[in-house]
Amino acid sequence: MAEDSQLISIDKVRIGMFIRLDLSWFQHSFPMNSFKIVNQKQIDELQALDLKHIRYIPSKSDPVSLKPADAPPASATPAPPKNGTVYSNITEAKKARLEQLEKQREQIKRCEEKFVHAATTVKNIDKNIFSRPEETLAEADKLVSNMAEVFLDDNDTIMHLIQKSMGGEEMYFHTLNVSVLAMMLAHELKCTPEQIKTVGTAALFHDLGKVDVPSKVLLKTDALSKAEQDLFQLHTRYGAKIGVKAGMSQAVLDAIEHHHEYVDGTGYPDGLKGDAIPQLTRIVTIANVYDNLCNHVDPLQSLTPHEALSKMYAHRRAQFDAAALTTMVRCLGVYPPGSLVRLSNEAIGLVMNVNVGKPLRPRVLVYDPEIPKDSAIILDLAEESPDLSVTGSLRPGQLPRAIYDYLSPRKRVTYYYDTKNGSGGNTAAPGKG
Amino acid sequence: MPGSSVESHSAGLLRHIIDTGRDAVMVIDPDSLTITTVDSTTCRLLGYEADELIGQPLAAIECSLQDLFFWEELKTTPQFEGDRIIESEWLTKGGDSIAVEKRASSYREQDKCHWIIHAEDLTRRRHLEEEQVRLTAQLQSSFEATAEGILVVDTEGNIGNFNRRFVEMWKMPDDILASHSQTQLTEFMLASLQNRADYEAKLARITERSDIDTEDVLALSDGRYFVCSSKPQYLRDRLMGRVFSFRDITAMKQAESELMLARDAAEQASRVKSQFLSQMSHELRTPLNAIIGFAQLLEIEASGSTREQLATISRAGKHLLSVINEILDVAKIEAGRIEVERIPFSPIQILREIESLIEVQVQEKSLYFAIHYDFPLPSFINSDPTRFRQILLNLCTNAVKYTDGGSVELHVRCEGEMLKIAVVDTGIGIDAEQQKKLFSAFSQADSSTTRKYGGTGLGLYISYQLAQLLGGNIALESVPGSGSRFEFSLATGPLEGVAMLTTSTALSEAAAPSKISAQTPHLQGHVLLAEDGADNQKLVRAYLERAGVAVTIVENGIQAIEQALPGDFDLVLMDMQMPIMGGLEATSILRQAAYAKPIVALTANVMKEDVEQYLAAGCSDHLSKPIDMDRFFQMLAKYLQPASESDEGDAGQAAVENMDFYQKLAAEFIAGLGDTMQRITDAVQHGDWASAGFVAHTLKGTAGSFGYPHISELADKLNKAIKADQKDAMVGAWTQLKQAVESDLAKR
Repeated sequence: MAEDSQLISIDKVRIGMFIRLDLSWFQHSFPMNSFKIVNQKQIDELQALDLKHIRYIPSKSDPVSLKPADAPPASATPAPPKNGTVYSNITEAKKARLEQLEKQREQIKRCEEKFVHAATTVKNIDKNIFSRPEETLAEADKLVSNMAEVFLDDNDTIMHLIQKSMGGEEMYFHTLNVSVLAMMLAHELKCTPEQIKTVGTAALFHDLGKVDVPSKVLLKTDALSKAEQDLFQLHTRYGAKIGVKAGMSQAVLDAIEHHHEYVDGTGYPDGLKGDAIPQLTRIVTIANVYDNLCNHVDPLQSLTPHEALSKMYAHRRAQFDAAALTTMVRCLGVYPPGSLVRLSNEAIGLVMNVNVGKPLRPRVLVYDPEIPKDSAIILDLAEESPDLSVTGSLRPGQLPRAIYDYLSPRKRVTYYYDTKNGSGGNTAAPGKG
Repeated sequence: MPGSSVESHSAGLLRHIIDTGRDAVMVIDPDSLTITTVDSTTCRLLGYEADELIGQPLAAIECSLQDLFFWEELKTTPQFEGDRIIESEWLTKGGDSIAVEKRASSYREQDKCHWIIHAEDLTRRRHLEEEQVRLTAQLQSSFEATAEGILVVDTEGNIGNFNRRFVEMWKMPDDILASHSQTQLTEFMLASLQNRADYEAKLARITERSDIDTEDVLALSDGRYFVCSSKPQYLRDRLMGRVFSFRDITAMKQAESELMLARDAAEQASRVKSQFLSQMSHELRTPLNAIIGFAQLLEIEASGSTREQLATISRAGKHLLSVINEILDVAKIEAGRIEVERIPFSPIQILREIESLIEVQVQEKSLYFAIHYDFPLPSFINSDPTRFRQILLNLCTNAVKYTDGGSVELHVRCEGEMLKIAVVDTGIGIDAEQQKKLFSAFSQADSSTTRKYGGTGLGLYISYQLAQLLGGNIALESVPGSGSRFEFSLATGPLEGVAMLTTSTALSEAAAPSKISAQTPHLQGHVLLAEDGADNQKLVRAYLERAGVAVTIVENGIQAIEQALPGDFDLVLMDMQMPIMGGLEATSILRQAAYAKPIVALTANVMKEDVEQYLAAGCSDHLSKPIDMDRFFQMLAKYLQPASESDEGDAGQAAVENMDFYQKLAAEFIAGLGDTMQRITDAVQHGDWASAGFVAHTLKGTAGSFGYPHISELADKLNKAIKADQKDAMVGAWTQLKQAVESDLAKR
């Protein structure tokens, strides 16, 4: 991308400037080639690079003056270390970074494999639940058990954004997404392993009744008429009926029938209030709402994960189990995976995953035109200096074409989780099931 | 000691201080995160009453996801030092969210911990920031989008900004750019210029007068050209610096210089063409001079069929000459170099000349020809007689050429200060399509007419252009098969004080002086002829000897000077184009040597500027080649004495003798006039129009010679009418002639 860069001498570099290093990524210690300078340490590091000039990009910078008068002379730090030592330090640092990057990519890849396996299973479940209910329930139980194993470990759980597609098709399974979120919530809410599995199973089957609702209504992107709404709302009752026939547990049946009830009594079909809705059902409900906001029938009406969560927290708080809602915010963070974000160094990126224990410092895939898309940098904000943080979210439509293509956010937001080191859960080999 | 003084203030005062602060202030209980106190600013901001807020959980008004983490972190250290600052969103009673920056601090009093929140509404600040970013981005993109290179310098000479185009245009190296030093930058720019001193001076002027706008063209050493304009930059009314903008005009300059080269080449080509034409004119006219001149000379002496043949040579030669003249005229018109004179002359006289010229042609084709004068007509007009004659001759010749039967008539009238002459024929006519292109160069009505009638097709074009130059026009009306009417008009110039002719008698008087007989004068004297062409030498010698004048011939300008200065010549005839030394130079030298005898230039170059050049060099007069015998003799008569008694007998005596003889003849004429008229009348009465015409033709000549112009004219009219076989006109002319003769005889 052509930029309006200006060369300035190194001693004119100021905090607030967006700069670009005309160096290979391995020749400097910074995580990125282009970034906004946010602290003196970065200036010192730049000077240590022993460059004469730096490319400065005014349009991305804070309004700063080049006049020598209005900035203090650079750094009180002692003379920069000699070039050689800096260089070896840089190499070390970059090597470590590369290894870290490689690890992160592996994590993502592993998680994606697990997701593909789970998705295949869910596809079978959806297909066979009516013809072979008993077998299918068992299969669902096995899947949920596998998924729950992640929590058995004391390891941190990582919520990943799944970018993988299959045969050009995005793999999106609403019920699997809701299961993943709901199970995670259940775990964080200190539910028992049994309860977690119940939540998972209920989530997998919560929309079972939609089979009896005309697809014309289900797929309608405009607002539904009153009659259509009534018809649509019946899916909760239909689902419960099918569930009874299939011999599902009472807790699962309740979640199927009441996953549209809100604690303030504004939901359906019974308008239940507060504790009249069982806790497990409330967990499924909140996960379901979140996924529906992120993945609208009409992708154009979908909210970004950050918008969806903000909307639920700011404007629909009364509808949800307060503990479940705050837990969800705490797990996914202010910028959940799938959010397009702007970093404090003016980089733009896509939140790839979040460590459930450190929701404010996610890992972000960042746009850097100098680095090929395939080996794009993933910044782990948990490991970076506190100066580097997310400063805001963006909508896909706000991105320039080049950045959009680079980050390629999906129309559908799909999550799957894994432990940090990949142990536990979903041990079944891919393809089996 | 701020603490001690606060204690002395009342709670009401403190409340006032808080309420009038800019920030929204609230106190919350760290354990329950409920609001315990709010100030009025908070209430105003959120739209609640204080008691609606007090006791509420903070989460009721906070709606940013960040808040959750913020307070949880604070809870880990309820008593903290200093401020914690975070941006957040608050929900108003109306359900709108407001961006705020909140600052939390803790305060402990009697084992009770409080958290105090100061919040600032960010709406305005956000808006300003966004606006600033938007403006900066907009400015930056405009700055980069322009095709001009821009450089901004502040009043101290520091470089404020420049765009990429500027760097590209000047091919500015990185280290100079990075230095941001105007001195280095300026030095680099100056070094790229062809003439640095020039621009340096201009920069110095800008430094002196910081408020001026400048615009300069800079020539770079690599051949490019920039326009540099600069304007002072103001912030409100304060001078901030100067903006220079550079525009690359190399392509424009190049196009300009190519155009100039093309123009020079075109002008050069045009000059060469004119020179060539001038040269050709000389080369063509010189041999023609010999051909026509000798033919004329021999014609006088020859008789019978030889005379006819010589007349043909002469006629063909004259025709060729006229073609050459036409081509030259066209060349001059195309080059915009044709000029017309404004001198007084008698249009009637020229019309009479035309009449006598056309008459011959008309007789050959048995057409009726007449000129009708619509009085009053000016005796003189101010125009170009040569061009006037040329146009009329062209129109009349054309009319005769394209008319195989019937008549050609001229109608002359004067309207205001426009003389209008209509040439009306009963010829083949011209259709509408052909009329459109008739006045263009190289166009005849169609190519078949060219084959049948010949001609260059230039005549009408030239006439039309000349008429325009003479302040007039040529208008055409024509019906194919019935005939054409060309009306030629020209500006007469002011007619105030010009005698107006009102009758045909006056007309004859006006025309009389034109009847100069082509008789050879008898002169005396010694002429020096400088002429290199052998044919022309012989011709001029023959003419001169015929007039009884002695001649010495030299071949170039140097010989002319050598002969003229010591010699005793009465007249020098000087050819202008001669080898070794031309006539112009020779004349000039002779005049410088105080040579006082007349020198007449002989030349084929008769363009107006040529003639002016000859006169300026000291020529007394000029004669154009080919030499017309009549004009030549007129010129000789102007500068030489008539033959003296010793050569030709007593001139006075001869004149008296001539007069006697003339009177005798005149008497005989008048005595026979009655008989002559009777012979015509007899023939008319016998219907023998041919005989009547023959007699009338003779009468025309004799009456004219013996001082009866009106009888001559009427006889002529009758003759023409008979030739044209126009019964009415014949009878009318015969009646008029008879009455005139009877009236004259009665007077005697």
